[in-house]
Amino acid sequence: MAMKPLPIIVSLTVTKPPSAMYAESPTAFECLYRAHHDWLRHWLCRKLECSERAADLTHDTFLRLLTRQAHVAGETPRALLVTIAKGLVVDHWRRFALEKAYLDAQATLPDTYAPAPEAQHEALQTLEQLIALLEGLKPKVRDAFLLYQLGGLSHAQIAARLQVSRRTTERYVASALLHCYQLRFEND
Amino acid sequence: MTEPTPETPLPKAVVRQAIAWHLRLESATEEEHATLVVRLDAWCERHPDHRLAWQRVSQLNGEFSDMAQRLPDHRTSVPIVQRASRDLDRRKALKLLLAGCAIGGSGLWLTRKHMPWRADYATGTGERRRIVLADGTQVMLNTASALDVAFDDKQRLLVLRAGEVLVDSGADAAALHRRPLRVQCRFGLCEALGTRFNVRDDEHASRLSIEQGRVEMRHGQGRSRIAESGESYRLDASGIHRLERLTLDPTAWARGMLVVTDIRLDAFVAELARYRWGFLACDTAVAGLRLSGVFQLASPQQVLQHLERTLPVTVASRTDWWIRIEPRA
Repeated sequence: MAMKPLPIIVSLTVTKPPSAMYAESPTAFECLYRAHHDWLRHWLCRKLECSERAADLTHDTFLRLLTRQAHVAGETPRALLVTIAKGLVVDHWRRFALEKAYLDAQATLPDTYAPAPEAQHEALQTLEQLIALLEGLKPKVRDAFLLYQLGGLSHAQIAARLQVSRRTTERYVASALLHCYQLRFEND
Repeated sequence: MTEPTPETPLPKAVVRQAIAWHLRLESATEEEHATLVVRLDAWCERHPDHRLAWQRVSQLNGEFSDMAQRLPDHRTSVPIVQRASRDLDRRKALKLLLAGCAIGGSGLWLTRKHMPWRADYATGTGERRRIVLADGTQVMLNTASALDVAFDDKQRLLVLRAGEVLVDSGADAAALHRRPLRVQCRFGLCEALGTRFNVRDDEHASRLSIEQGRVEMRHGQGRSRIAESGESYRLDASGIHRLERLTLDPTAWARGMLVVTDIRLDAFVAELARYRWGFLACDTAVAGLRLSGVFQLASPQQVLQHLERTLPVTVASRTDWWIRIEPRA
């Protein structure tokens, strides 16, 4: 495998104290990087279908590995890299999906939804947080919760909109709240 | 949401009750409200878990209110989150299942054996790949392309599933009989007669360019024709057409370049868009501008900057992915 230049990431070992493992053996990370960089980039390239973005996320993946306190199990560094990379890929998709939906909405409602750049940035961040929070919920549960929490609709109105019973709407909203509660207070 | 999370999780049933209290309070009328608060208070008194659960649910609700404050228009935000979430669900369902396989196994790169629905060789957007086949034939895949290889006793068949491929036919020295090398594209079949040629599939046409040697083209509807060195042809629903004046060097991509001569800006932008992920388009007001030049495919961003310097256009980008070439104000 060709030797890759390491300038950006390695300089971080100086500015930011890495996890114990790397502090003791400063070359361990370099070895890992050299051994798996190309492989990971290729993996990401397939997932993202974009070589530039893949290069960015490869960089980010190694950066996460370097700065987090986890110990790398000797045999399965690639499994760990993929776990980290997978999270980053989803982050990327989420942002992409949001920007697309946001721009589409802006195009149809230019007057009501064209805030100043700063407010827009804040809105995008908040929406991204919200999407992440509701991830994993069934679409109907998610819709019910959004209409209730953001749309300000009553249970009866949501029931009519989603064509389910009022009782079901209440159950949907409650289960979405439980989901958020667990993410907020029980996730480690 | 950064506060450290404490000790053991509360019983789920208690959390559910706290949520039910919250929802009941929110939909209560003013008269109901007073009595409900008294009953809620009693419930909280009954067990420390109850009180903690209630505090947390209230806190969560407060955090939602804060979030809502940061959104300029709640009603518009709902469909945005809905659409984005659905889009994300779809992507995850499609692609992350594959990632799951990769982790479940030894973490090795997935081979075709595990993914029979995928092409033998494929490239992502902006990617290029050179492959040497068993018979010595060299193929180069361009951006966002997919190719299946089906060799048997009778023929060496390459099936272009998407995109573009440059073929440098090998001698096939190990074979007992002569096996023709063929590339199947959307609108026809191209048989190599000792040659180096390029085949590209677009939605409405296939294009064939011969760099060396000759190729016999067979259109899906039965017509056939021989293409000579240096020639380019277009195969579409109506038949085979010779392309006389090319505005785009058909094989420059294999050297990582985009070489154009007197090409319309909209055609150029469409070409560049193949190598980039996201939305890239051109305003109709500037679509007819023409340009010539040699560009590096590796850096589409620089190409866009170049356009701004040389043409009366401006590159409007609302995000990294959404770019539009517009007339300069």
